[in-house]
Amino acid sequence: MTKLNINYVYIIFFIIFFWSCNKRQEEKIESENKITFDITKANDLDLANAKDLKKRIIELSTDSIIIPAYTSLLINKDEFILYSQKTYQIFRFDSEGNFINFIGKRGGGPNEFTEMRDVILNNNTIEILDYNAILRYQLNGEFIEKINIIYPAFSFAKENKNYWFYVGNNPTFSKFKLVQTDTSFLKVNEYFPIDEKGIPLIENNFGKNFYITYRESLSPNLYRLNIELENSYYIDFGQYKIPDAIISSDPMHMNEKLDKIEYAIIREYMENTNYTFLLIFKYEPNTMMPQLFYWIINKKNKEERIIRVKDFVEESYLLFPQRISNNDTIYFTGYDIGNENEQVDQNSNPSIIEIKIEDLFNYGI
Amino acid sequence: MRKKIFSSVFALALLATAGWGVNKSMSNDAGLSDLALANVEALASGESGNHLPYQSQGYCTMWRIQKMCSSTGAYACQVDC
Repeated sequence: MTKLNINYVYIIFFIIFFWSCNKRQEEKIESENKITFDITKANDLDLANAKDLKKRIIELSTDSIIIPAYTSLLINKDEFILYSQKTYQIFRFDSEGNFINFIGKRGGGPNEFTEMRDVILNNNTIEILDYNAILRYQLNGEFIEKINIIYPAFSFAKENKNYWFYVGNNPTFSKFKLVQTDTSFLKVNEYFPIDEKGIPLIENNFGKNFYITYRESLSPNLYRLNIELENSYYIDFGQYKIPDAIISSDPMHMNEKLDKIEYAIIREYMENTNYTFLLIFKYEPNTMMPQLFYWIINKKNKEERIIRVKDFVEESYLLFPQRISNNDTIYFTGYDIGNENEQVDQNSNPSIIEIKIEDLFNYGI
Repeated sequence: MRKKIFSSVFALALLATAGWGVNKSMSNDAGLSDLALANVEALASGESGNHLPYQSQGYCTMWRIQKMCSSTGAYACQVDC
């Protein structure tokens, strides 16, 4: 090789070196774990059959407090933490469903939060993601500290020594949607470039089970967060895939375009060492309510089941799978009603319902 | 002579890429300042009248993505749940 060519190689090498130092991690992570949503394999589960499923019902007993519908559930050893982003309340219950105490309060005081964007358990404490801060409380409700953060995130999670903040499409803040920080909240990494003209999609992106997981409703990619972002699954929805043209269309008119097509999305992604549980919403044109599917994958033998929740009754626990425990139990919240016409006592609290995932997995076989 | 030319080209390339990197990093910092300002405005507005100024989308009813307002974002809210 002549001296001239060697000089060219040096120049190109340094240009590439500096370019790569500036390039951040981008969304396109190819997955080898493509799985296909095959609706023809689905078994129907209706309310009457669900009544017969083996389950443990934990009735939430309080003297005078009504637990709102659509509460979210966290599990801390043998206690249950329920929180409502509608009423800004956090309730603590023992393993039998007896109310213990409230945690935190909304307000303008120094120990209070203005927004409850997300809630996590962290080493026997509760952390609330506020508008521009994280508030930390003891489980008995005692305030610990308020930590100001610069991330205007809509949801968050903690794994190992990392925090993950989902800030969505917010060009005034960042060119990326997902921010990973250390426990000092110093930025470590950024993922998923935003759409500059996009608007934030507010949702709970993180699955807080044995594995901390991440998903976005309009993306077919699922991720496991374990120090790094690991692309765990790519969902092939086939004919129910949202066309790229709609995803990249004007966000102010995207909803109207979605209303006119048949499509499917992943609404929950829960995973432990043995199972992956996906809650799929499938929409048909001009209908408000989706069809719900549980998609359960046995990670040991790769067998999978798809179960269609046949009756859509908003009070039913079947619509709210919330957590999967390390001992393969799925926790739901809601009412165990047997048919569409059954009335729910508006003064009663919803229950926590435990079902062994094996019983769901083997349903209909 | 040829050696001098290549040294110059190399130095120029080095300067250009380093400069581009610094510029990129500076522009990101500018974004943060904008955000801080936007957030202060949003918070002030939120505290005074619970008005959420920015356009977002989310699950207003749990079941379907709809347009909604939020306290952070980039574009003025036109449609709420």
